[in-house]
Amino acid sequence: MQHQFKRNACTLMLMLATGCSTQQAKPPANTPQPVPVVAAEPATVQTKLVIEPEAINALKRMGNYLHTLKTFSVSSQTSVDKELESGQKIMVDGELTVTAQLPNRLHIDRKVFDDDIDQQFFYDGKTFTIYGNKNKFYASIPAPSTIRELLAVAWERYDIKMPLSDLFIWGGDNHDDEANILAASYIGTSLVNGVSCDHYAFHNADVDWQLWIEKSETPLPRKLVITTTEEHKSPQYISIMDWNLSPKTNNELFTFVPHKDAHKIEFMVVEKSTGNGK
Amino acid sequence: MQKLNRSKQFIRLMITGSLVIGMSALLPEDAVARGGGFHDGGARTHVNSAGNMNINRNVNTNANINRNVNANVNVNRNVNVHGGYRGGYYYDDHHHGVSTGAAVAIGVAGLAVGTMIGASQLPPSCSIVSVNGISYQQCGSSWYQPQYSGSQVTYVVVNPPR
Repeated sequence: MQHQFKRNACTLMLMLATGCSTQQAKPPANTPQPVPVVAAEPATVQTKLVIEPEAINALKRMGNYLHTLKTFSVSSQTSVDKELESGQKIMVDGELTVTAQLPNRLHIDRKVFDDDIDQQFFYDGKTFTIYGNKNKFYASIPAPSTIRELLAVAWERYDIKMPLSDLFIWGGDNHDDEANILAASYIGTSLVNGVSCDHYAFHNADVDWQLWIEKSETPLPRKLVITTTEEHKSPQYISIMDWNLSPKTNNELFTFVPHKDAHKIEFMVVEKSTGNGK
Repeated sequence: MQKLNRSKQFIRLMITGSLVIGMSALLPEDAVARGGGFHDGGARTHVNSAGNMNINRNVNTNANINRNVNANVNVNRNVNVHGGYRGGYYYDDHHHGVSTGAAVAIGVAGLAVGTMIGASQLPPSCSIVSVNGISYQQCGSSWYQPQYSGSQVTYVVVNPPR
């Protein structure tokens, strides 16, 4: 509460004079001061968006840490807003387990309840396959040589959204993730499944998102909430993550071998243009 | 950029009536979308784009739909299950409704060849049949070719392969 009050007071001050620091914890001396950014949308009252260096630093620290991991397995409970035909919002839950061996091995178990989705993704550095545990349909494509490249190809050519793909992008060479942040703030401390976390809020042009980062020497993301503000009803996606930093892996986990009763089908190619213009 | 192409999520249509070729007005996608029922809330599940940040979200499918042929599509509104939530088939904001029935050939079941449907829309009693190494769902006299559209299996109405 007190924090909230201070932030509000600071917002007021921001209206009077720019350059107000909203920091609670003192940032290191060499940290740049918060940079007020004017919101892009025309608004009756223009709001100043503030990027708190503390929040960006926490994101960087988390990203850098994720990049040190060679092997990990993360299990996640997911929830996502959908709509009934009436327009009523509902939440559909699911479970994910993403097991990665950097740079080129990935296995994902994905279940979405209500939608009856129960499938596995396999990637061994050469081939990417999706296999439906229930319908037994599988499709395979030759894959690029790293997980990061696979994410791009899967998305651009096949319209496949890899679950928790952000884990492989945060802290990477491409700093678009930071460049897209229009506002960032520290919210407070929280508990996620009993793990003490720092809670941060970020604002991008198309989404608001929140991260709960473990307060420890292993600053892992423990919870992610994405609010798609560009959609009319601002639907949300929630992922609560449980980490295993020394999972057991073997080749069968990453290399798909079809069972006798599996049926091979194809991926639909969508070829999103990646032209420079728009 | 994304706002330009937020034409609505895909949608499953149950086309009960016949398709009348040559009508003057193509159904607006949104109208079809709403009439067709279920709709993804459009929730993003990732913060960062995995690919190029300037993705043009015009999606060309290989379903080979001729969208310039006009059709009168009757949408069956009586297929709701579980309060209007029909799981298993939805698309995201960058898709366009290609299953508006605007295709030339008419399949046996009254669905235009090329129409894409979700698993929950398949008729009952289908079986998987392999013809020349390609897997089909045969449901009586209707044939569907399954494919992964993104990470979900959809079924495209095809002419009987044999």
